[in-house]
Amino acid sequence: MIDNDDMLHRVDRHYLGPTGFTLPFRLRYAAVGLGALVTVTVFVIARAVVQVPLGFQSLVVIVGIGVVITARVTKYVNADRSVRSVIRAAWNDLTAPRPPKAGQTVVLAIPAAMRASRGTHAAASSEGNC
Amino acid sequence: MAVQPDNDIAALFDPNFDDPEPTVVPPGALPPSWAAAMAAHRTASPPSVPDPNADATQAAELAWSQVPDSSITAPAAVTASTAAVGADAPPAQRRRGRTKRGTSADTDAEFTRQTKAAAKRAARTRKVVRLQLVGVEGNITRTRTQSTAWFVQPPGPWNMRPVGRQRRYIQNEALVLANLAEAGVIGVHRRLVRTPWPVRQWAQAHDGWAEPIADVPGALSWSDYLRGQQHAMLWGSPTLKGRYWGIELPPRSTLASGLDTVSDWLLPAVEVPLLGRVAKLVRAWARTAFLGEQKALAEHLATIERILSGQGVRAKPATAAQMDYLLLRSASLGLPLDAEGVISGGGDWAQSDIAALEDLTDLELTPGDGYTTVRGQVGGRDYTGYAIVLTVGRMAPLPIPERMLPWQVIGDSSGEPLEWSERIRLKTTSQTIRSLRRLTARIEAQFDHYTVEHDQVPPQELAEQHALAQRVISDIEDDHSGLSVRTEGWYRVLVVGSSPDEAKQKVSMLQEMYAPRIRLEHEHGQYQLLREFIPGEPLANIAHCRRMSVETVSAGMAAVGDRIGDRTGVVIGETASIAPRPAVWDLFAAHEKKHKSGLTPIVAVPGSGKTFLAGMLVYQAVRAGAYGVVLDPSGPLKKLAQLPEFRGIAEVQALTGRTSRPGSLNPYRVIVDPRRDDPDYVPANPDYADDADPVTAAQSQYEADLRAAQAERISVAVSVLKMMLSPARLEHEWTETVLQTAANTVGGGRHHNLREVLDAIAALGRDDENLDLRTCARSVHQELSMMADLAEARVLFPEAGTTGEPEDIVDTNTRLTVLTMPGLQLPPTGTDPSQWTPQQRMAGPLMHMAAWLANRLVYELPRFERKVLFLDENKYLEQTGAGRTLNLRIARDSRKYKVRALVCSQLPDDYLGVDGSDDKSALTYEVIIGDLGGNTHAIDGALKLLNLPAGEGYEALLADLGGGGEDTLDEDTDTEHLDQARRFIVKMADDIELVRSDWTHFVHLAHVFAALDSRATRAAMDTPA
Repeated sequence: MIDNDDMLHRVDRHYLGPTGFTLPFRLRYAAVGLGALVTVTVFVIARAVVQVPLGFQSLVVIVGIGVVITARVTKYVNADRSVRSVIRAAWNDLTAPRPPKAGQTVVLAIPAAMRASRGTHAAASSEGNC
Repeated sequence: MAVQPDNDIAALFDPNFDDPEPTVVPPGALPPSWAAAMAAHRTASPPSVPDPNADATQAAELAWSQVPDSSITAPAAVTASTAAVGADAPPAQRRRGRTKRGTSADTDAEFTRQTKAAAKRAARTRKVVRLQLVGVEGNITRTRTQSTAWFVQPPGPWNMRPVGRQRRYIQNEALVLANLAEAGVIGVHRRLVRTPWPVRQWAQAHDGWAEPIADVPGALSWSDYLRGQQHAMLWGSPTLKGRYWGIELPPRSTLASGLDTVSDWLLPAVEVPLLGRVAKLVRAWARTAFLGEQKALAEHLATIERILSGQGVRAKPATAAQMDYLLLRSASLGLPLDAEGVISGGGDWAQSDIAALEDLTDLELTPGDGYTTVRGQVGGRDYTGYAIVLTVGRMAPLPIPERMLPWQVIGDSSGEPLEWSERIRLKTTSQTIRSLRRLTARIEAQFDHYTVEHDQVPPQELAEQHALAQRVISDIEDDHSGLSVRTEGWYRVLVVGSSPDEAKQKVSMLQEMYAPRIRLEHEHGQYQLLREFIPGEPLANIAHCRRMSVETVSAGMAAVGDRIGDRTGVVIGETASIAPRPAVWDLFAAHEKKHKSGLTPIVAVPGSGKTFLAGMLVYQAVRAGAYGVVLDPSGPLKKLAQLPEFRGIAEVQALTGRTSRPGSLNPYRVIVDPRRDDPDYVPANPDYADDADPVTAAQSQYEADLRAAQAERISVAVSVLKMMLSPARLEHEWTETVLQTAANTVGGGRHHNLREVLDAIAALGRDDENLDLRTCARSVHQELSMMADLAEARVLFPEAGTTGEPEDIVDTNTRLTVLTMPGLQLPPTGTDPSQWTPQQRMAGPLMHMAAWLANRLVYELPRFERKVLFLDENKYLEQTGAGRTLNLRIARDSRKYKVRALVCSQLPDDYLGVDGSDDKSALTYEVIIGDLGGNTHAIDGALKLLNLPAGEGYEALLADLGGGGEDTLDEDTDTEHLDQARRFIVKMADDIELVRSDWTHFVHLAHVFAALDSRATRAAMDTPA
């Protein structure tokens, strides 16, 4: 049998709570860290940008939004996909080249050296509106 | 030139694309899509087709060997396109000029604003698309921070090898990786690229190999035949694999680059008197350091080369052409493979060449799509492809090689050209142990978290993981074989479709093929994953990092494929084990190149498609210029001789029935005397080099062979007469003596016949002293005369009173001779021979002599010409010793006379020794095994013939060979989805493969299929293509 080390790297990473006090739900360490970060960001945005007043209700709402966002993100996080890779994947998707919109002017610059040396891939200069 | 429709993959490989199709086409010779494309082309082409093209058309219709001047020219097409481009430019300029002259200021400003915005957008998109590569030098690609040296591994075999040998392949490759890790290599980037299977090169090689028969007007010409063959072979888009190993070279140390920078700064300070000396010293130091660095790098490269050329991988540094192909292919992933692509193969790549690489394709991705849209041009036509990159996810323990194919090859049987990109990091022992110790600490901490801090039962995996970690640590520390070196890697597969739905369907099919042991993940960020395939690009995402030992990595074995046949000969079918590829057989390579016997046993039960396969092989061989002799007692192969393209060069001889020639199967005539002018008896032959007197040695050899031929005639005559006697007569103690005496009285000369033997027996019955002998001779004579008077015996016994000498001239203009035996009455199988009628008893000797006649016809043809001999259904030969002798003789002489002998049989025992020892299987170099009907004895014999070990699961494979679908009269059942093609196991030299004989795409040979009239192809022809 050809075996691999997958099992070794799927160590259980759940946080059960502070010593002696078991939380009723299981949190992952990654979720804990990310959740803290997200909640702080949401807090900063809510206080500085949206100017929400400090109060019990607003704090609960902020924490709630943080929890919801964290849950959405950590749904994709597992032993194979770390938090960093999930964010990286989202970033990759967003920054990939998009299809050109109709009506856009497209400008292509072709290096002169390429035209001379690589004659097979005929560089058709497509100037104009597409 | 007319515009061909997009995505017409078959048209991509059309060798005649540049020239318009000829208007006269044999009906039914082209598939529907071609006919439609031609019709569209004809209506859409401009009325003024330039005339110089007409001459080029005439020249291009012929095959390469037929064209007197082989320079292929299409200059008119090129000038037309450049003329078109030139025509386009002035109107555009005129339009712009008009706009500029007649516009107001703000339209102008608007235009400039738009241009500037477009330029900024272009710069931004350019930055996204920019490659990290800076240049290529030799086989080393460079980015700003990294250099990678590339090596190419040739594809290897896998199928039907003993399990131990397959394990050895895996371990050898693993050892190469382990050695690389020991030499200090940290990263490896492996790529598996696909090139199209060289169909055009096959056609050219086949054209050169064959000496085709003359074209018959009105029938399929040689060039149309070649064109049809290529078209059919391209239908499945077969590909070849090439595997590249990219070894990352160590970066420059900071000391070295620091020294270089400092010495550069100090250059102007050299003249200053005191500082100058320091400066000079520092510069000298920097120079020696640089030289030392170069030497170390050269040594490192030499070590890597040596390791990679080891037995497991046998890789060589990539040549310039291979580097070109790697880069061009990686940059144009998603587009179809370029069959006619030009590889410049000369020189290194500079920055501008890399920029051209970025421009090869337009890549687009809309977030949430899950695929990358690739637009580009291949062979002058636009294509849009949709590429999805899958990542290898979790892997369960894999039973490779006992029950599973190597894990990188599992998806190949779908026929998709999958490409792999693997980024592997090799870890040293200390790194691995350190990480494992950290892991152990983490496991223990988590264990404490459960038990100590919370008093809960910890999950069971924690204890198992702890034990596993300790085991791995001891494995690494104690293992001296090097197979437990650890790696971590990211393994990506590329799937391409011509529409998003098709790509997604292929993805789900691939995931199904890999399930349940291996998961393939479809991740986001597809564009960067696609770019990862190009050498030098950064890792797209660190998700799905697979950590395994080098042995598991090598169990992927991406470079293996089906290996059978060559790329020059006739088509048998396509391989069916790992990836479908054309199986091509050079029928005479065994004789011409390898000096082996040309006997090919075809072992299969009736109804397995072996007659059809042999018929197709004979057809292709005769078309390619070989002489064909076919003995087909009852079958349809005589219709081969009636095909229009064989008009005038094919002949059908009936050996029984009304039209048979009396005396044509005379045993005395059938065995030929050796020819005195044969090269074997020339004194200059190296066989006689050791003799004192070569001339007498040659002469005595000739006389010995002459005497041997005479003895053979006598024994064949005796066995033929014995086959005609009933069992009661055979058991009589004096029968043997009577027959032998009579035959020896007549003698072994060529001019005798069996009636003389009969007369000799009658004489014995009258004149001999021994009473028992006389009685026996009289009863034997009685029975044999009765048999000799039968109508069927006419061919064996000439009419009383005539000499019965048919003409002996063998016409070398006749290329195909088909011997048939209509009306032959075969005795039913399994009945007692004493219950057979005389006509049924005649069947044995008739078939025996027919096989001998077929053999003789082959010997009378010119010795060094290629010949094909086909003996069908020789059941009666098997049951007598005479049949085995015939097989032995064919095997021995087939090499000397350049005969490819296809001998059919139902049991492999004929080709093995009488008691099961395989003394004769050494004479068979190529074997074809078809459906054996589940007979275990036959299956065991077949395994011996193929030289495969018993008990390793090959019995199940042989028992399962029956293809051809199911035929049923039930109207509610639809059996069309079953595979109609027959399957055979073919052995050529040491390669054994499962071959599917699929002729559905060979539409130009429809008339041949109709002649051979097999049920399977008839059904396939009826279904719409």
